[in-house]
Amino acid sequence: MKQTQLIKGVLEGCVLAIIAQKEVYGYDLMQALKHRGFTTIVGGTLYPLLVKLERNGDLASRTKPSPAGPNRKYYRLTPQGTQTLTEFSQQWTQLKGNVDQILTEALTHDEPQP
Amino acid sequence: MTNPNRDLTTINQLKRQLSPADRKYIDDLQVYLNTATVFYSNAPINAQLLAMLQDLLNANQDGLNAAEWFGHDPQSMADEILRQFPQPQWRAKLRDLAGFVALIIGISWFSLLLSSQKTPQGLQLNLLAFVGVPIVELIVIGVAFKLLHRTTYQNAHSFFHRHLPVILMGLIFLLGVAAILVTSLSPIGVTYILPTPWDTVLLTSIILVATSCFAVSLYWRYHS
Repeated sequence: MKQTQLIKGVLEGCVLAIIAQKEVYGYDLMQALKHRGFTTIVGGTLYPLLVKLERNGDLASRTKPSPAGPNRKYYRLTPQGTQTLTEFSQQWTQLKGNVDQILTEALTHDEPQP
Repeated sequence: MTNPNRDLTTINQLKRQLSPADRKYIDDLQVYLNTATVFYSNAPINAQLLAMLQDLLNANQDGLNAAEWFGHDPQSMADEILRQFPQPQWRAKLRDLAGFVALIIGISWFSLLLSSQKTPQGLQLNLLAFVGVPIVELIVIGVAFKLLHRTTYQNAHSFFHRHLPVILMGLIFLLGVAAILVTSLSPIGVTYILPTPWDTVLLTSIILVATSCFAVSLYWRYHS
């Protein structure tokens, strides 16, 4: 299975988790994702997701002075976003447990006899 | 300067720092995003575009170009952004639409009044032109924007297909001019004579109002 398909489902939660730590702008967020192994992510995936999360009320943005150059758009988590992140965390823990169990069973199971 | 105007000015300034290929990528993206909504405010879209452009400049410092940063399918990204963008409330839509239509009507009527025929009895106004010209202009602008939007990412290989948007745009423009000339110059429909001295009063008032508006807008721009 392609990695991008797997990532798509969890990217939203990961973006919320990174923004929960500190207010970030797009470039910062992309760098944070890449440093955590999401090396295939491009702006074409990230920017529509940020617009969607802001529209849904999980993120809020504000323009703040930037140390270098013009003001920048910073994203932060809203109370609703915190709630969404908590739900994602619970769902992910459960899903991960289920998948781990299936994989453990499959990998430890004896090879079927021909 | 208002925020939308400031964003647009900053976008234009920052684009100068890009390579020709990256500038074309951003130019196309800007045209595609801005022509998606013809009669409504593009302020939120330009704010988003500015944020993306600033990120691209950071990425340039890491050695990445626009295609590497945003991906090789800018149209899909733009469509997805447009799809996810919050739709403006109907009041805001109505306000933007009314403002745009009022501007077109104002410009049309201003030029029609100035070009109306002066007779010994007064100013001869072609009422059909006063209704028809703004409608034709709105249609031409709407069609031109739609055409620009649809052809921004068109992959044309033949010479004809590559230049088709320009040809169509020229045709639409000519059609619009022809329609305006027919409605404003032909003596069809109802005409109304605005008697002297009211014609002079009206024209002088319009010129005074237009000059005042221009001066006020310059003053606002200068002080913000």
